[in-house]
Amino acid sequence: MRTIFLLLIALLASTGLLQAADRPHVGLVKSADGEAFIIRDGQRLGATPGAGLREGDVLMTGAQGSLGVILSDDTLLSLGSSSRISIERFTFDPARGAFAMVLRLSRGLIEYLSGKISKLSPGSVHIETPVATLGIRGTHLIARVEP
Amino acid sequence: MNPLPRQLHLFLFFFLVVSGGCAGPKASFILLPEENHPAGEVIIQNRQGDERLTRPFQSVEVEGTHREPSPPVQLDPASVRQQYGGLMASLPQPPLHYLLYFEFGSAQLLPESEQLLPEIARAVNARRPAEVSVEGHADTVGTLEYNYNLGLRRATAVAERLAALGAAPVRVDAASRGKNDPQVKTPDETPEPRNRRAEITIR
Repeated sequence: MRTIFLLLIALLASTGLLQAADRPHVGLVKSADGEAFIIRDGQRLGATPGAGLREGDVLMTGAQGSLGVILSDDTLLSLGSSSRISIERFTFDPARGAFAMVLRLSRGLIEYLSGKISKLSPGSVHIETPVATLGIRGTHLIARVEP
Repeated sequence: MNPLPRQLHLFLFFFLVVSGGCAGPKASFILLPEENHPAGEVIIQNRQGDERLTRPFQSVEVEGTHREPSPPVQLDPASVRQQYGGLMASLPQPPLHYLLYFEFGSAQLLPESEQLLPEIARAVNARRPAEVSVEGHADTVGTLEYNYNLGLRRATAVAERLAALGAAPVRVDAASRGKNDPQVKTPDETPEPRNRRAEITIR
């Protein structure tokens, strides 16, 4: 009985049902237009202004959608239409000197303006795309991925 | 020199011929200028090679995973701004930062800092939905633990004062760095007014 209970816990943990609340808060939706969503643990949530973001979240926009987002290290991000980007990793912990950011743009269009992670720890910020990975040293850019 | 066995090369060749012309996803990257900063650098890398963007409005393209990034070309700023105007309009405003200073060993604000509070509260509400971070700091007089707690009392006091003035962010984060992150480096046990502070970020 006890084994089954433990297995159930392990299963819940592995499917992510226990994870969303544990993941750190990493940012905020500042503006949204048209269809804009957050995908968290397989659930599609509306990306409305004021919605909080967590590590692991995927941001998505529809054909008429756009999004403006600010991350906890002051990074600014906007998404154009038909775009999809995931926050694969985000660690901003100046007290421990721990910094990391990995974003994965799988399709669409983003503008990125770097925040403190890139300034305090050059080389810790990466944007992955299906065809290449970007290493970012404190800067401002547009990235576009067409299928 | 070449890590792939011959069979795999043949297989890849065959695959590319069969998938003829379907290059897969294509990406382009443009470096933009950054206000008050020299342009940074972006390194675009895949298994075939890498390129760097070092000047504003340079662009690199990558066609599929089996092609190296193209050499950078210089684009016309006006046409980039025109093409991506909508995207650029969606970028949020940069965050606002304020510094407040305190009496020695206390969470009592100095009068000049006290006077800034209404302006800060208004700035929070002008940016709704806003997130506020308050980081409290101390000078080096006293133990690590004492100054951690002092920094936290300072941060919490500021967050409470802003709320009392009507600031309504969606989220407030009050944290302390104690004496570990001074604005002015001093030896231990040194009173330093500039280190008795709270840093406020409005996002």
